[in-house]
Amino acid sequence: MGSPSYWREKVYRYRLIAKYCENCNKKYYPPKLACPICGNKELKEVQLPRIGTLITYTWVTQPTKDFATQAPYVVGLIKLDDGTLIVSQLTDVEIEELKDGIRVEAVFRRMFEEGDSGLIYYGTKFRPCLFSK
Amino acid sequence: MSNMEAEVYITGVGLTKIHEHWNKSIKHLAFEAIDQCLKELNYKRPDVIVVSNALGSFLQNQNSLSGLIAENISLIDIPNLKVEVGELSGAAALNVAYSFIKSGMYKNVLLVGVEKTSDKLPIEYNTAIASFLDNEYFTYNGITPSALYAIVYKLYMKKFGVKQEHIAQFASHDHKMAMNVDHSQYKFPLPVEKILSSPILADPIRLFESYPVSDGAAAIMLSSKDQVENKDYAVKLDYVSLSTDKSLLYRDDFLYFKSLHSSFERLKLASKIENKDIDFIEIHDSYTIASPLILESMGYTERGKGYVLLIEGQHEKDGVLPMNTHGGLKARGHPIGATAIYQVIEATLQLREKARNQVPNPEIGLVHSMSNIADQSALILLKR
Ligand SMILES: [Zn+2]
Repeated sequence: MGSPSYWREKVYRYRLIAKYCENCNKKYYPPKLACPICGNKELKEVQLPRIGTLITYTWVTQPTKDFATQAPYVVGLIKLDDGTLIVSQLTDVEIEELKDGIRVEAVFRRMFEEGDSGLIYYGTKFRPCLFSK
Repeated sequence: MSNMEAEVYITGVGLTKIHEHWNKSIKHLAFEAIDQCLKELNYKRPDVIVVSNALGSFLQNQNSLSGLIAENISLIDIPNLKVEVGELSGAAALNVAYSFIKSGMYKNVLLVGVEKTSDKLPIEYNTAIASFLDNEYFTYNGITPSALYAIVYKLYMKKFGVKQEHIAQFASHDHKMAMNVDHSQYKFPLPVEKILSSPILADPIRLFESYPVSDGAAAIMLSSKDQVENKDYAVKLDYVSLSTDKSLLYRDDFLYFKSLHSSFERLKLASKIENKDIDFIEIHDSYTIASPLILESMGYTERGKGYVLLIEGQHEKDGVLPMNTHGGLKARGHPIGATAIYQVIEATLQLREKARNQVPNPEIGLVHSMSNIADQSALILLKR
């Protein structure tokens, strides 16, 4: 992944910015240029809540090259507190500690790097809430 | 309008065994399948070549593949093109080939699906497969296709209270069917206990619930009716139906393939058939959990009961709905861009009554394909 695409997308990735369709009252993350339901192109940028509930999770044992050294790692389906669904990596947690229904929060994390001297790519992962929320 | 359209027939087929063909290149595999197909037709020349391939630009660093394949078999004075829609590439390419004849533009279209997945290390293959998802958000975050299917699998078991041993049986079914099929990749039985004790791929998906790394090439000739010479071998390609859906995260229901449902409704309306008229089906079961979801979305069982016909033996060759009679993606293999062409050839063999696991007197066969988690679904209807 080249750096221009990295800079282009980073605000959406770091700050969980979604696109919102007023006609359908739906939020889209990953963000879309037009609403997949009604075709509306006037979508508004909205910030998603950084807290949600883990619906369920799995772990990846056959990663892509970028994540080769990180496997196995946990991936979860999360319902954010506004109802938006997101699939994300879970971090700061042992697999045994996870269960469906726990509260999770977004954290800023390193995703992967391009070799020893290449770019480091950042993004959002989720972890179990540190305090009850 | 429909009376004016040409009828489309499958007049020739050719395929390689599915295998990890270490000593054969992607061009070599395509050559063998095409040669076998054209041989059935006494080397009749096609008017155009349509190639289906999903990963060549990734794993072989090869674009312009259709031209190389055509030149390799000395078909240099006709047009060629390649179609790519991830795992649905073969069905999408077939849709193009079908419309070439339907429209009257060409009379004989050579369609070849080819994939060479064993050229690189497994991690390169996994990276290539993950490219079927939205790279900027899913792949970037380490989300893989198997992780998404794993989440769907867990949601399914939870919602419907279905046990994994029921779903894993779809892989056993595929293996049982593939045992006597010449071109299948795996020819050994796979009991459920062995599946459930295989390593975890993405929990709860076990390694033996997913497709293998497969190389292969399959070719068919599609022809207009006036070009049919051997009537005993020609099978009618009656209808091709493709529909799309929003990607998984935007759907209200993760456990229903809406694109498949609408694709099937359109096909039934156009061909004036009902579920019970389908004599056999070949489905795109990349993971075992896909099978019940496919059967339920097509209305063959109630929701949450997709495994019931299997347990009753209704997917055997003499059952109510014979399924994957050549081993499906799990045991025949899944050479990505070639898979749907293999499925169509298998359906053709059934309708020619030349299949190893022959369905008794079949008249109508259906082939199913899809990309990702039914982001796009294809159904291909074949008639004797
Ligand atoms: Zn809308």
